[in-house]
Amino acid sequence: MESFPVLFPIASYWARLQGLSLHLDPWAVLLMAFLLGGVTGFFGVGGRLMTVPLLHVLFRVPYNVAVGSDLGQMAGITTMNLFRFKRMSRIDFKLTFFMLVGTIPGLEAGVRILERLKGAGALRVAGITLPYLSLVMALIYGTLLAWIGWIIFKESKGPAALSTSEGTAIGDPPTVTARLQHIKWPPRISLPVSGIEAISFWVIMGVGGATGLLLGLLGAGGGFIRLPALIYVIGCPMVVAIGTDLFEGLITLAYGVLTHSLKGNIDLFLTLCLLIGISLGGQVGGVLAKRFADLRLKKVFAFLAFSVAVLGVVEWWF
Amino acid sequence: MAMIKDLIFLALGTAPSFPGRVTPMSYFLLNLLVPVVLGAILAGVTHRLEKILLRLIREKR
Repeated sequence: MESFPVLFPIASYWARLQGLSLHLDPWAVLLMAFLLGGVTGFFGVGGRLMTVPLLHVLFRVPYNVAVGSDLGQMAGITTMNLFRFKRMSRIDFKLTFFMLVGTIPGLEAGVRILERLKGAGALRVAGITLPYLSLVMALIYGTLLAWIGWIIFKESKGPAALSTSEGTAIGDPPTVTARLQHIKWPPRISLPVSGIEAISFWVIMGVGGATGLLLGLLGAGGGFIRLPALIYVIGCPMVVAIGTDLFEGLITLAYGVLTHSLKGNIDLFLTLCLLIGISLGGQVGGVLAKRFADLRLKKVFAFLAFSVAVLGVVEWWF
Repeated sequence: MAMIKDLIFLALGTAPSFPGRVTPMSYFLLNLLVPVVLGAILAGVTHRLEKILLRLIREKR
């Protein structure tokens, strides 16, 4: 058997195969994860979405390993949140089951797209070799982060700036989601625990499918779609949405860990460093937000998101 | 530290290090169970950390 560096054998293997010069230091990963957790805890959104691109840009971790390991740490974070919020949440098991019908195939599709990209080779443009995996992932992450950065930037200007944008004001469901809520395609399902008389099965499956696809392909993104979708699209009360989001998330992540493990994309030690850093940082960030909450600080987050989006593309030239 | 490194190496030695190799079940179980167990432990740790930090902030005020 070939020997690999002790701490990060999987990342080292794939980096060597993809021609990346990996330089992973556990303490540096812990620090980065702590800061990202802090950003998420402080601003409530988006910090964890930067994990995968930053692992690639700062440490040259191959995207497939970054995605797999990030998904692994999310299993830990979800367990942590399930324990912490068990008294404040309720689970709608029927809704969970129907969502899983969409989430699992969506997740598998995302992982398979990643696998295809992993084996797709590279593109040569103006003397620069760009692996398709890095190219596509940087573009997707860049677009997502720029979009989130833009929303947060608008939020930093206060509620007046938001009222003109599509339904982002608090308590006002977005127009698109309101339209989705009124789709009446059969079969229609009642969800007594959530207090919903009838909702199209396809809406639930669509929410699950979109969440799963993002989770499988990006290793993140499920959270910021699933919870708002449960509240605004499906119409769950907050208490049920939180519990169902966490419970469905844990089952989905268990499947995600299985499928990414089978494809050799998870580096356990990297997962653990991320999990410890993000969970502790998130707590510190959450407490600091209670003390120093200020709309203007959101501009800092927007700047961060834009910077990571740009870094993902600029790194091609170095 | 050396012992911890040896244990990690033993655990990760079962990992699929190259394509085409069959993944042992232990690798999947490790990847799932270790983060889940650590997550359960961290739930208690972060709960205490939150209490300490909130107390510190209140005292400063």
